[in-house]
Amino acid sequence: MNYVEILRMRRNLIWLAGVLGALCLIAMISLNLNAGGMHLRMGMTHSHFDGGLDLAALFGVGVAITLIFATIIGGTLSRENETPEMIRTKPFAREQMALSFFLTDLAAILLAFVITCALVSIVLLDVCAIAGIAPPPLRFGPEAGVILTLGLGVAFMWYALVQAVSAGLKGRGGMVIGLSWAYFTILVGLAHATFLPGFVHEAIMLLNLLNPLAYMNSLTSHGDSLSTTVPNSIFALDAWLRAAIVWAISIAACVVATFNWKRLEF
Amino acid sequence: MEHSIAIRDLTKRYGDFTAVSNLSLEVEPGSICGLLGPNGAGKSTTFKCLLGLARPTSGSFAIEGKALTPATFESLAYVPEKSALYENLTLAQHLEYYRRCYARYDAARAGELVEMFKLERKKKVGRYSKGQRTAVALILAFSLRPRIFVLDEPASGLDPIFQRLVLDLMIEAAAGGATILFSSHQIGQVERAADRVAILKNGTLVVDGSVDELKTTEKIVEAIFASAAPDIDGLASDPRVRRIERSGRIVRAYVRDGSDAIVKRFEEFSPRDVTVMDLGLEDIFLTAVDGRDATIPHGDQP
Repeated sequence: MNYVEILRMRRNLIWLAGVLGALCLIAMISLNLNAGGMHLRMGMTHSHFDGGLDLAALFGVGVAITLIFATIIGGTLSRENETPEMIRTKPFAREQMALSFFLTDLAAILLAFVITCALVSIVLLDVCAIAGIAPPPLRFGPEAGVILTLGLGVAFMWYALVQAVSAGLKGRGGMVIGLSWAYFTILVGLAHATFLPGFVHEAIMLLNLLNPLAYMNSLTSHGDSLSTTVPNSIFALDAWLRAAIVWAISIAACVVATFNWKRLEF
Repeated sequence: MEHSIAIRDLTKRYGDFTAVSNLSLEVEPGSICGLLGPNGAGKSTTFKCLLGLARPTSGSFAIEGKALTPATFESLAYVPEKSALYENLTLAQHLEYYRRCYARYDAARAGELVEMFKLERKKKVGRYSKGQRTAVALILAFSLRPRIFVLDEPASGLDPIFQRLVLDLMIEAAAGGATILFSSHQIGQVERAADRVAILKNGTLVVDGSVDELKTTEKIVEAIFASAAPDIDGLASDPRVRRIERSGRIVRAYVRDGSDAIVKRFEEFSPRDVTVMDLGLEDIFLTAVDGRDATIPHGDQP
């Protein structure tokens, strides 16, 4: 039933791996060409690896790339509306088909995260080799867990919201994806604007409830460590609570997407 | 006997526009029913409503006596009018998709069909011509060996050789017990394959009956004169004559009963030749859709 979606996601992941791999290769070639200067600079940053490398940093990079990937694949159901006779005349309930799409895409999002982390790790190993230091041991600190849960949740929430809006459209999923970037970025920016009248600010805060970026920006650096306990996002909530909200909204958006997709006529 | 397909009082409106109006149609198991009609007559809308792709404004359907459910599609294959294939996938990947979706999928049959239509399995469907895409859709449908086929313009874009192949496949499937409801603009195809024909005009069923019966309901009396065809007094008002066509030296009268009497009327004007012909499906179709259809009898329609 989800064979076509598996093929699509395989193609997308190959593209992701290819592009990221090429970027990593360029970075490694560049690092190796400048290996002399690298030794000097690594001497200064060596202390960062004392006590091991917190996976939070690696996961942070992984989440950023995964977020982009998740938004790109968000128009799956809308794309199926371009060939409705193919998908809608199969011996499966439409809810079942939509669910299989979501699960396949979620698996692809997780794989995109793993691929990104793996490629970034290769670059880090190369950096260590150039600097002549042993690869630092990896440390799964408390921040890594929340970055993983919240970050992937934000990525999936963005994906699910794009699905919810575009599932009722015949095509045009790409347009929704593009507009979502502009809309979410502007909205989170306006939440920090101080020149707006009170009621406008309230309205923007309300709209930000469905803005994945509004939940994500709470993770900021405090010296050498990341803090999730300081409620510095536009929502004064603990990061784990935000993660729970983000995943709950994602599931609700998938339900809305399924409903919108199911009721569409051709 | 339970109908393979039963459409009852189907009406489909899009705003103020009525695409299909009170359509009732039943197709018996093992039969081939051709749905004819000019563009916009409501053929594709009927199919979409039947298959759950569009919601009817009113009316009901039954496939093998049951309401449409996802399980219905295990025994039903649909080929839409426009290509609805995944352009980035190869034919082989489409076949694999069908293998995974349908318990009835017959890989050996699919292989035979691919050979018949001379297609490359590893070529992306987006690189196929329109006719080849139609062939892919037909391969997928016939490889399921379904009990019911719903085919919307199944020979669209195919060359005459493959059009003939499609008709043969349909006739073969029906001989094996399958029921086929198909639409076509090519009356010759319908005439060759269908044992029953339904003609839609502006969303309304105007003809419904067996092809053989419909052909025998009328005769065409054609007279060719040496000069311009004369006016034949009283011919137009003759109750046996349903329609008259004039074209230069030729006059054609569509006669329901008593063609001999009409031949005699023509002979009074010394024509060069008078011929009595059976009605063809094309004549039935043109009569039905040119605005004078009310006089054509059709099955159990009111």
